[in-house]
Amino acid sequence: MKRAEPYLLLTPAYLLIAGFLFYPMATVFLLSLREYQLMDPLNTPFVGLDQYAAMAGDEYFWRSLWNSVVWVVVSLFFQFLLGFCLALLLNSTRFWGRGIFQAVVFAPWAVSGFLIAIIWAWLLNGEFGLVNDLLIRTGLVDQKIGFLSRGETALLSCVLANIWFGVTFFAVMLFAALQAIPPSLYEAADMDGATAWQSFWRVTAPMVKPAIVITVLLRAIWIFNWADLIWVMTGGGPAGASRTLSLYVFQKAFLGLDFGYSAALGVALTVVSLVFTAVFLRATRFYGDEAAL
Amino acid sequence: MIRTHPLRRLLQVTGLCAFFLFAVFPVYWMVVTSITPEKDLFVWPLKYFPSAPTLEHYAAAFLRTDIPRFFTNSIMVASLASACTLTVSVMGGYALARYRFRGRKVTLLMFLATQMMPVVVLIVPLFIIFRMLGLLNTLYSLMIVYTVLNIPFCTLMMQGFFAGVPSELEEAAMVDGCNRMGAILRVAVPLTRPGLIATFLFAFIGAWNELLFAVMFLNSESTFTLPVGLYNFISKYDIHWGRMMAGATLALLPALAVFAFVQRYMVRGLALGAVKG
Repeated sequence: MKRAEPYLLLTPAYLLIAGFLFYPMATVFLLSLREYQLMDPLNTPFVGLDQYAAMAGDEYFWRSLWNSVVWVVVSLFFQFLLGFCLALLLNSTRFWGRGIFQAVVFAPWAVSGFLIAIIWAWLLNGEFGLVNDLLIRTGLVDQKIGFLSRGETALLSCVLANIWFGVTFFAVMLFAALQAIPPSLYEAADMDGATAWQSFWRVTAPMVKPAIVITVLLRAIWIFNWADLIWVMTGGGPAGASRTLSLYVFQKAFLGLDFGYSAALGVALTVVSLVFTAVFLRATRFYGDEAAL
Repeated sequence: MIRTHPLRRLLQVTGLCAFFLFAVFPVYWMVVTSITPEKDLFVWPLKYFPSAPTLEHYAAAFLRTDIPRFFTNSIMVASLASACTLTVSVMGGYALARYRFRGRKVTLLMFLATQMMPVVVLIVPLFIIFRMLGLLNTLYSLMIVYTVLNIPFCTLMMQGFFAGVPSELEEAAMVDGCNRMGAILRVAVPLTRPGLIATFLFAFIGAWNELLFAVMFLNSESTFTLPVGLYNFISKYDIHWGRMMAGATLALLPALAVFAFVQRYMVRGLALGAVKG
């Protein structure tokens, strides 16, 4: 009886995860081998790999994949850079009210993708947006820019909103890692005559590397999969200029009502995530140890 | 040791102020827009402070739209889903923290792996499953999805909280004649109360903010949650920005209130491998 206890306690979690996460995930692949239109659910012929072949020739697919790369890489780069700066600043500055400051600066984390999109769509509005107002007042441009309706700026506008949201995540994780570095290491470096620059590269950097690796990986996957921000801000437009792969998966199902093709795109999305994870872990020589659990 | 040079201090202060403005300004602008009279919203150049603040957009949001109903629906879905999540996570987290059993490590790894799952890919198969179960266009489908999506993360979180409480107290209670269930409910659970609240609220924010499943599963206005309802304002009409921002402010308030409470636990929760947005 006693040996069964942990399994009994975990049963609800196992069942729910198996039924509503693993089972549907498994059916996605089977679904991708069928032609499945939502309007015609009784007629779902097996078509084998036809939809994958269609995908290979689908210009929108390749474009969305490229957009995903831009979306992930640019967002991540700035989130990391700014998040690390913020964490270093918080870690090295003592001032009154730091707790409150931290709570305020970290608050974007609580804002949903939907609200971020709405707020930034309004800020970047081409007619009465605040950003246009600021740019014109400071004389940087002399004509309003339709950020969301122009192909060159639509995706980058979404990236900007994503950066606003994601700096927090990096700051929190890296701040925690910085706080965990024992001060004695800096004292020792100081006694050996290390400059601030040296103690950053020889002490801080190696100590926070595991946190950086895991945070970058989790965020990269998460951003790659994240669809609602772009969907609400631009709808993937104009003409697919800001549509990422995850958004394409969603729109094929929601607007196109083509479940079979959406599933095939979903499989592609999953494969890209897995390959990326494997390559990333190998390149950073990071092996998930006990500490990660 | 950190020596604070005046110039360095100046740089630090400037940097911190910049971050502060960057974090706060968009939210400030949302609130300002929501209290600016309609006629002042569309003048050029913009006014950065409302000269005659008004609650007209809030009144319109409450009286002329279904926002109150969306709000109630969202509260219901989010609180029930997070209550279910909490129950399942307390049981699972307790098992993972207190027992050494075969498959424990695999379970932990599996929970971590689910955090990397592309959620957007699940929308189609879950739609088909819920259609078979006859739960489409009901709030039950969302409650189930939100519960399941939050379980792995919240279980890991609860495991951490239980691991922080010494097990001797439960053993003492069992010596005194409590059974295992009694020891969990009367000793372990009360001792981790801050953890319970934090876990509940994490699950709540996640459910409160979710849009894509909701928009896919619900199609009649009476079942809309707040994100779906607000999304519909964008797609259906010309956007009434003032009213939209009033709705957005209302949607943000509960999340921020909850955040104020959980942010202390955020570092710890996130360090456990969370990828919640």
